[in-house]
Amino acid sequence: MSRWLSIFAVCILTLVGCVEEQLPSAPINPHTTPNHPAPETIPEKPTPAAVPVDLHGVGESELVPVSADEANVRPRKRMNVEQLDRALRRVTGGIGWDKNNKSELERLAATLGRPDYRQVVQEDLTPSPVFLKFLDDAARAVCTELVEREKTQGVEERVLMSHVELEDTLDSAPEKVQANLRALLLRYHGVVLGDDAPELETWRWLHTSVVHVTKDPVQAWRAICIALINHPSFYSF
Amino acid sequence: MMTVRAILIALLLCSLGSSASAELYNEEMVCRAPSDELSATEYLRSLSLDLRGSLPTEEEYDAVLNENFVPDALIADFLASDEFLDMAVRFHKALLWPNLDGLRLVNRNMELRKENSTGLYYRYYAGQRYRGDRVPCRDIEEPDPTLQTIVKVAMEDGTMREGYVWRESYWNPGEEIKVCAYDAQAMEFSENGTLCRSRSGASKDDCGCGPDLIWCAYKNEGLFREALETDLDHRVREIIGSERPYLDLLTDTSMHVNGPLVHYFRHIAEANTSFSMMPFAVSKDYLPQMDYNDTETWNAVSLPDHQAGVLTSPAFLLRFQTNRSRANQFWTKFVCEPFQPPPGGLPEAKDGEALDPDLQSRGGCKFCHAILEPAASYWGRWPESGTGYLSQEEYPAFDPACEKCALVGGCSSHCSNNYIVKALAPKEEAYFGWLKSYLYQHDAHMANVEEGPSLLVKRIAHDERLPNCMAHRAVQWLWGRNIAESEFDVLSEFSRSFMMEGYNFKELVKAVVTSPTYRRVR
Repeated sequence: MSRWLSIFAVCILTLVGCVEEQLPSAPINPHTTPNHPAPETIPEKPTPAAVPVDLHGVGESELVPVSADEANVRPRKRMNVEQLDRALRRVTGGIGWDKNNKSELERLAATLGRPDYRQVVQEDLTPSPVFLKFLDDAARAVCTELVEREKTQGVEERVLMSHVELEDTLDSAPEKVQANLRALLLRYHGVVLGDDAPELETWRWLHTSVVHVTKDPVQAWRAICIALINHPSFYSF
Repeated sequence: MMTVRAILIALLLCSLGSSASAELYNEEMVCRAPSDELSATEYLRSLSLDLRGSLPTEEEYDAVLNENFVPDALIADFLASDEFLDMAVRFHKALLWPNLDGLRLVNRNMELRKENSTGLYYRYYAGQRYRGDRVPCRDIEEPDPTLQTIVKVAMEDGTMREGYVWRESYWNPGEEIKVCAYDAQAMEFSENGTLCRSRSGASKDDCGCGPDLIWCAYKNEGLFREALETDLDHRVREIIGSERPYLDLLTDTSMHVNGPLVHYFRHIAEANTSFSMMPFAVSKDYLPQMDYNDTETWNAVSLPDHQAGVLTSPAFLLRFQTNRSRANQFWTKFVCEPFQPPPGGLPEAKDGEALDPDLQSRGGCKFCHAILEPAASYWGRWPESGTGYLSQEEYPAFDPACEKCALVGGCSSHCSNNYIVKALAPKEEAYFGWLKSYLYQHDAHMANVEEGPSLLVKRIAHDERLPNCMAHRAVQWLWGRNIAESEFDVLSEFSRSFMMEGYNFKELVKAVVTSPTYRRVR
């Protein structure tokens, strides 16, 4: 309650200056020519009463200060449609979520929060279930295309399996897989991890699990690609 | 598939993290909530996304890894990039709401359609007048291609239809198309002297689409709309890209035009009926010669001094068609003082207040209108539902002829469109003969009307509300939240440095993204 009172007080103070500047000292005399009616018929000059400044203030708005526990730190921001589209193309080396050479994300832009400034005037950047669903669709599409492309490429051309051979696993080439994971986490999430970083463990586990289930290390990298994109560290910053 | 999904869910849950206490026996298995402080590479990633809209390149990551911090030069590069200007444009779209969809820029009587089966071009709506229905002409060549006479033939369906003639079009020069004879007429004036490209000319049977059909639109209304909206983007790019003072965006006198927009203002705008194009938003004298099909080249056009940057741009004036809505948008977005009732609602009107016709005094209304009316008066010489400027020479603040006609009747459209000639309350009779924007204005606000939005910008820049608000907007964009009360001093610092740096928008953005708060993420 006290928070709202103080917000109200601040807003009143802000508007007080405004009102003092805007309020007139005297109304204009609109008649300056001889064509106006005879003096006795001229209506009384408009004399609006001064508006009490203590009436003014702003209520709930997009400008209401946030609470004290949100100070000095910023929340993670979800990528907008353009950022997401470009990010997907950057991490995959040019592959976007496209159909018939048109970006699916662009097609879904309004659903994903882009305002049209006519009916919707504020961008919705919440990581809503709808956003996460389409993000997952995008991840599956681009990662599938990416692994198919990389199967035909030499290791120096690849961006997903850039430190491993296609058949490498944590059992057969742990250092290479580890190096690849670290490179991907930098590429997708912008994080630098040491070999013994605990955060790597979950990614190693994912790789091992998918290899165990599918017997195909390439599928493991596809799963890691999808997981990296679905991870909040990818779509938010 | 289910396994992968389960793994993903586990990963996500893990990534969201718990704040379990340290030193657990299985510490290596615990996903700790990441530190609030971004690492150098994470900071680089955030900067790159915010300032360029894309992820960093490998080379940029390498540079930061070598130094273990983000060099100032890299931030400067980001701010100097074209991509940053895209982000600045995006930021300003949220302030200016440039969307003219649904707005009719073309007089329907001056719009051509094509009948696919015959290839005939004809005016659909206007055809009702001279053919008896909205139908094309006959697919027979007109005997007199000079159109001295047009031969109409009675058809079985009751319509009267002429033939066609071959004409070139401005949108596809060099190729002749079949144009119905009535629509192909090229006289500048009708028989009774009406200018054919004007609003009145659009309803004259002896007026057509002009030479090369230049007065008619053909599937290009969207192109005109888009060009008007894009003018704003170019203004933002020019002012911010060249690091001119931000105030110039709100006071500058130049506009950006491409081929379609020049064609629109030169040949098509005058006939518009949806809003007032007279006086012109851009006088033809200021327009460069440009090819209609040149959509990519944008030329800056210098307009008269009364212009006030984006605030008097056609896109802004048409998006916000009343002076109150123009002021409201400006007050909300650039002054950060939205017009909203207080918590608990508006106070009750006192006796007599409720009936006051002056909204600045009427109970309840005055809560906002005591500010809104003077604010709206800055646009007083920009007609509502219009884009032109009412010059003091042609539209004096007080016109005795309009006062006279208000009292005795017989007002011209000049008076009835622009001056107060009717009173909705006795109090308004005192304003007969005054420009509409003077209604209930006070002495202190007369300068608002005459000086226009530029004066408003100077005033709110002088009292620091504009720089404060822009600092707030930059924080909202880059911090992703509103300011906290405890951070008001930080906001003031941003605002002051913005002013000290000559209202350099890039410097404001730099100050916000290099602040400690930007680097702490939760």
